[in-house]
Amino acid sequence: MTTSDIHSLSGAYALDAVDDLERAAFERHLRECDACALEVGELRETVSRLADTAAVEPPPSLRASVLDAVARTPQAPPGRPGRAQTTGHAAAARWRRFAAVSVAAGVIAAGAGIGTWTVADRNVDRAEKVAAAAQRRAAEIEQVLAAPDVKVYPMTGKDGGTVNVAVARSLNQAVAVLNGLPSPGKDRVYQLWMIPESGPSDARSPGALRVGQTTQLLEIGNAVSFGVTIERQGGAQTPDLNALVGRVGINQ
Amino acid sequence: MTNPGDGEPRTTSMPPVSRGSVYRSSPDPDPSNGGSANDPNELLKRVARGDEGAFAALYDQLSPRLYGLVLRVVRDPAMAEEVAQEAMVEAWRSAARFDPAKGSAVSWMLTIAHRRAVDRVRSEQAASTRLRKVATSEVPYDDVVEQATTRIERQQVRRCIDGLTALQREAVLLAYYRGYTYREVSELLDTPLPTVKTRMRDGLIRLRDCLGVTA
Repeated sequence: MTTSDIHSLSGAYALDAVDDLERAAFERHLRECDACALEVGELRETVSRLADTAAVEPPPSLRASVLDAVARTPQAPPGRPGRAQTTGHAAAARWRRFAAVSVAAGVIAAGAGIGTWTVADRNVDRAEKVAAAAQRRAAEIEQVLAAPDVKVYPMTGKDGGTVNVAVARSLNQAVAVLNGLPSPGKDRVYQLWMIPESGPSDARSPGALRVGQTTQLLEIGNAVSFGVTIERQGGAQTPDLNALVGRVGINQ
Repeated sequence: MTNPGDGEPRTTSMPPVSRGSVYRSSPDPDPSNGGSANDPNELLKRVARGDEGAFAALYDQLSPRLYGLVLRVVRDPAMAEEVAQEAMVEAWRSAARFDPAKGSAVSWMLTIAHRRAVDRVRSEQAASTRLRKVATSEVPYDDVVEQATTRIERQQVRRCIDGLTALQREAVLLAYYRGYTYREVSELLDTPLPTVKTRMRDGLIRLRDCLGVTA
């Protein structure tokens, strides 16, 4: 992406109309561009004014449950969320930090019980757990996306959609971000694989994606390519190559 | 442009949200009045020091906008309640990381809430399903008109939205109120990607100037 390309993303970024990788790329750019940071700040303020027209009185019960949750939730200290300090990037924008927390929070929340929760299930415990888990995952994902050697390999699914794989060899970790893949079908799930030179039979996977999950951390190890398959609910030990959605080399 | 919106013919086109659109009668605190006890920036600073009372005051000021925004994006009241609560708790947790030099407390909290709402709808459904859905759903701008009340701020926002070109307006509102990525907006509006990106940016810049927003 050229500089002017990325600069023109400020509107879409302020509207949250970008995917996770574009967001990470834009936030890297923001760190080096004060004028952009100022513009984004103003556009964010502008966007917030749009909420004025959406105001609706929430159900009265929400107040009590929020305040109850708050009373039981410890606060994070200023500075980076729960992980060891890393060198470099000390000036990383706060926007980026809390944006990353939000991404992961969304991912966790999505996986925590889509399709199963009911009104009765909503409770403070869940909100607290989500927030805590989000912080841990956010730190890992953020670290991969912010790694100095990160490279992004796009893969197109055979029935549409894309999977972008951000590979940080220095950390031995990759983040895959699914974008617009069609539903895998009833009782089927997507599974992501890291495939070594020796072939798919030795492929490794952190397990099938949960319904609605769009981001997954993967260990790189000796992998030379990345692949996506559709498997039965619960996932598989080795990839079903007849149900290959796509594969991309990650070694160049 | 003077368009106070009185006698707006579109306001009767849809029933109001069943939960009712009762707004607090007390005016929003003036964001420029700095040290007032009710200023959201001051309240959030107190929240960062663990002040639950300040958080409750912030909740009272902000919850209609925050909940309303989330509801507009996720559309399901039960899910909106859940997402709004998660966003509020996250704001409480990370209040110490709020930096007034980077923006207002209101914008900071609404940004958290919007991100969560958007993440939720994006992960809920395959993009293809979402795109099909919007084709048969109403244009978000009608919602905006629908919800508009006599409050001055809302009228101002509405007037400024009216000042956008049709493409700017659709691109901005589909992204903000429906959670679409600019790629999805490009597909929906059958408009090239670079154009959509540019219209989002220049649309927001025009809104910014119209609203007199400064960072």
